[in-house]
Amino acid sequence: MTVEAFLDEDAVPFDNTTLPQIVDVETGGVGIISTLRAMLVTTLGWSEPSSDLFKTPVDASGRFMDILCTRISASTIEFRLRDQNAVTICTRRITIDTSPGCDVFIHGSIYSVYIETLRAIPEVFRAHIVDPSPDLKSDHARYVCGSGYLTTAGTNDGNGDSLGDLFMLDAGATAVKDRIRRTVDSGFGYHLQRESPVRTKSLFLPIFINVAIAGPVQRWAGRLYHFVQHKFGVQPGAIQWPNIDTNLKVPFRTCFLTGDSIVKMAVRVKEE
Amino acid sequence: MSPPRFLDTSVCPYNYSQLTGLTDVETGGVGIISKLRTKLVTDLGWTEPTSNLFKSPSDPVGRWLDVLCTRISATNIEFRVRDNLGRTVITRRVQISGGGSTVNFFCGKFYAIVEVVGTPEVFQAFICETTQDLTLYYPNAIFANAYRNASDANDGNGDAVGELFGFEVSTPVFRNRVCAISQLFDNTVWARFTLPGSMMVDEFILFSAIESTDSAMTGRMWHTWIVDTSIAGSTDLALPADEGGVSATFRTINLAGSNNARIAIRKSDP
Repeated sequence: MTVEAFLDEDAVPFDNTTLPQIVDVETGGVGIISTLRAMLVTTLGWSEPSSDLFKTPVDASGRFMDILCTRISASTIEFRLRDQNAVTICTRRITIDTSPGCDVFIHGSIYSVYIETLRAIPEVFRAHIVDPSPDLKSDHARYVCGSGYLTTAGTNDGNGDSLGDLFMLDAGATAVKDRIRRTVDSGFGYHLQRESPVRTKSLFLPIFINVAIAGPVQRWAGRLYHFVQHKFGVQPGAIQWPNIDTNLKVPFRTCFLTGDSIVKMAVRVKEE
Repeated sequence: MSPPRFLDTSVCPYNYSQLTGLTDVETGGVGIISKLRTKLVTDLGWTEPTSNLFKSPSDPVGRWLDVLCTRISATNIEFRVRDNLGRTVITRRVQISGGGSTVNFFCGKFYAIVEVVGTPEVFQAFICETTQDLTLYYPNAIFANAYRNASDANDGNGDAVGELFGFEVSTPVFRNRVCAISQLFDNTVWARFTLPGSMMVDEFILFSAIESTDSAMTGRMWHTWIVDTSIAGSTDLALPADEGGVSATFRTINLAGSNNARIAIRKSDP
């Protein structure tokens, strides 16, 4: 067996870190923006065409996205996500607790960013370029999706708190909806939660993203790199070690996104 | 290259055959029972402990199934499937047309599927492929079904993909056991095609309820892919059989689609 493309660390390098107890989203060279700069630009080969605008490496098929980060206040940061045609996919915000501060988990790869403020109710911003395998990366142009917990007015409109809530360019316009393929559900009232009746381990399955191509016609755009879905009954922050290849287990950290009553999402993290 | 186990012909050898113009389910050494004897016993290592009772080889943890075939009439055949604990999973029937039917046989070391093309009427019995639990024994990994009940009625329990009887706890339970895997969370079911138009094929993962609201993956059906329901029945498709672009021919069976799933079973290799 071989590692599937969406989990291939050699082809899609990634990194992760946790900022401890920050009290300002960015101040004095410390904070989310500085951490993104170090992780994405210095480590993962992103660029910074203008201040606080981070652009993914352009892959062999010409794919990229960019993210403009703006400090709104000590507690609030805004992200504008654009695709390769400079179409804004979403502009969303997340907040931290400034007193006493809060931890912020950050995962980045050459195709994704995932930021989680570990407040009492965690807030997430994320941006993804999807893995279209087995189609070619050059086969379609709608590969950027993302979301954040709050609107630009600072309200929680419910469009950024569940694992499937993603903005994307549907047929002609950007839209948000729950886009995840429910690969662990029977559709008949039962949820496929375990590897087998004699095991309690969760199944780990890829996260496919749905996109509308014309009117009601829907298609699958691809998988999220370095993310998997698994059963609901796992605590956020828990580390699990699924097999991604024969005799190869790697750690995934369960996300704090709400999910629903069926599944949760986990992000790949470095082995400590 | 190493194929996933459910496609590994060295673990589960298979064959495909067909009878055409069949007007009697079994007469004069010709028919469904004789064909199963040849394809299962002669070619795949099943045994026939008593007349018309076909017993599969054991899987690595000792599970096996047996199928008792009984000619009810010229157009009617009954199958009783039991597991290795002697528990009866089903006793159900299929019928052929008196005017002559085409019957497809998809057989493997751990499965037997008989498809009467037309309505269609399908009998199926199999031991799941149970990766990751190859060394852990659990008994309820044997599923079966057929189009009609033992009173010859079509009760609607055997005409769609995923409709299978299997033991849950201590009794055989009928469910649609195919995972949806092409739905969104709003329960809409979408075609199994990527944005550029490639068809997404999925393993035929089956589940059992093990608690009131919990369920577990019991295993996969051997040599089978789920394809989109827009693919007609009895269509031959080149689908993956190994890594590196290796494919084999899989034939869709004519069971009604379920959650946009139709199944295609391995028919031949290049």
